[in-house]
Amino acid sequence: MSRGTILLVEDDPRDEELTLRALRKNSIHDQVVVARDGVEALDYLFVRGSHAGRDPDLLPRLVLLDLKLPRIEGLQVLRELRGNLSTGLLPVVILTSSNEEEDRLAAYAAGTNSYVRKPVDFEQFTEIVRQLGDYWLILNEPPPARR
Amino acid sequence: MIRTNEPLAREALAKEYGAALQEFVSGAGEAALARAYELGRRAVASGVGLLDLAMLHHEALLALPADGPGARSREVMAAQFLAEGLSPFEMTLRSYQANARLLGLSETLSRQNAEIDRAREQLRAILDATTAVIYLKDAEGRYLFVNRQFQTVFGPRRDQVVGKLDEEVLPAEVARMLRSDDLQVLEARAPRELEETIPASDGAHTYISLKFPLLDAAGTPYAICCVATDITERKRADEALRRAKEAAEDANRDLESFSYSVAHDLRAPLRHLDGFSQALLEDFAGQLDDQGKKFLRYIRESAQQMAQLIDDLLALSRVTRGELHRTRVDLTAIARAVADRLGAAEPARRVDFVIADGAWVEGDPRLLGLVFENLLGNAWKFTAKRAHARIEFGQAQQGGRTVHFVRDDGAGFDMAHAGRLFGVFQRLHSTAEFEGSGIGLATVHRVVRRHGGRVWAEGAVGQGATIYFTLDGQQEGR
Repeated sequence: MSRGTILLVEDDPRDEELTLRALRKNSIHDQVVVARDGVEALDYLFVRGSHAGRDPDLLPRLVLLDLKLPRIEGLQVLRELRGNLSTGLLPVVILTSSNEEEDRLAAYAAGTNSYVRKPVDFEQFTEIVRQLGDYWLILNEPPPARR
Repeated sequence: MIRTNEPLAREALAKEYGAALQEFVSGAGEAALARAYELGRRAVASGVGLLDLAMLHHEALLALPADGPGARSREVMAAQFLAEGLSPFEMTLRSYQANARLLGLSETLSRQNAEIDRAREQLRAILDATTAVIYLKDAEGRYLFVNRQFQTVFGPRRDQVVGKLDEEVLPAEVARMLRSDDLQVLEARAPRELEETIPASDGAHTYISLKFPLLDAAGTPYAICCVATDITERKRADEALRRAKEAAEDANRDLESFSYSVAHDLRAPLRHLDGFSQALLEDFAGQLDDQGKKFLRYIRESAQQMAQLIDDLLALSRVTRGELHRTRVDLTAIARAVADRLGAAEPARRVDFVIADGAWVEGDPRLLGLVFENLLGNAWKFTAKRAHARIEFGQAQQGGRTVHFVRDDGAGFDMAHAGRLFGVFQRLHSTAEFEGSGIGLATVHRVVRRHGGRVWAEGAVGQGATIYFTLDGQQEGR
């Protein structure tokens, strides 16, 4: 499997642990960058703040975005990255507890590529992460880099 | 009339009349003729009657000099003279007739006056009976009329009020407000509806005062009338209603945010319980004996069960929350889709679905979908122990309305508990026997009720169950 970066935006360390575990169990060995709130996620994406020193040409192949986040909520992160030329086309998957209609509607309206609800059953979650990896990291052709 | 002087007057009159007649016939002309009129008037004034004057004329005729050649012409002239002398009598008669007419008129007038008085009394009775405060003032603000309620509200008797100004009979502040409102209406020359607050022993009262100017022919206001209705009670009720509505909206918002946080926050810990239990089972399997593994499995089962419970509760709250979108709905198609899904999930089971054709209704397709998810889902669940089950969706006519039903030949239930079936968390079977949260039929109940329908159940233990529902009643709000 080709190596790249996955940006996981997740504030709960237990969810982070479980997501990383599910990725590992599915042999997805891409480097996972974890942003623990909306501000950090945007700092990473826009190469600023605590992430000002990173290689600006290295964009994540996939953003796994939670909706409920401290400081800047997930929907706002999504809107801002969509509004920026360098990150506007990034594949984004909303990974959340909610299946409320309003949340789904707002997420798609803000430009998510996919919306997946985290199940309680960890085995189901592992299966979902496997399918996400297969689809977004292998099957799906990413957008060409904009120059 | 000068009756006492009559003989004297007649004598003098006869003398003058004879002389005047002679002058006239002798050709004295208009001036002599005018004397005839003058004498006629004196006759009327001094009570000399019509017949007297005729006699007097006759005497004067006889006294004229003997007939000569112009005798015929003299007779004609004498007749003309008499006619002139009689004309004051004619006029007196006319004025008498006019008087008589006036007398009749005055009778009519007094009859009409009585009618006006009665109408005024009736009007006053009405004005005094109403609970509205009514008053009439002239343009300067002097009271012309006040009704009984005015006295009740403001205190001073009406005879102490009429002719007075506001500031002479009312507290200064009230007087100022009333006058200022009145002036507004007088200036506008048009009716105005104003809210006025009047202090009273039991607190301030609010009135809706309809004030309108009375205009004279030139369009200038000469008076102002006010009809003030006490709306204090209505206002208090409105206020209470507004507060209740706000509270309900607050509660609704709280419920919304509660549901939202239930969806997000309550599920996360369950995910952790399940995930880390699974991690223990995987990573530390060697260090756990069978008992330990069993406990971890229990933790996972409980976490998943609670997650299901949360989802069901959310679904139930969504049934109550959203708008009802009514349209034509094909229940047959919905039932088939749900049946297909159930069959696909457990292909090993042998279940015959019998689904009535063409079951079209008016309703919310999403909510009616929930009804079939739950009813057919229940039927599927409670027939699990039958080798070959039968589940039917059908319709029947009952008292002119269509009754829909879902019937199965599964475990059934004891009719003694039929009333508990549709309550939240009510279960008639143990979890070990059949899984479930006890929310499904409560959801069905709410959907049916929101469509204005009714739902009820029939069954017997071991003999299956039938859930009936209607959708065509009076629609409820939320």
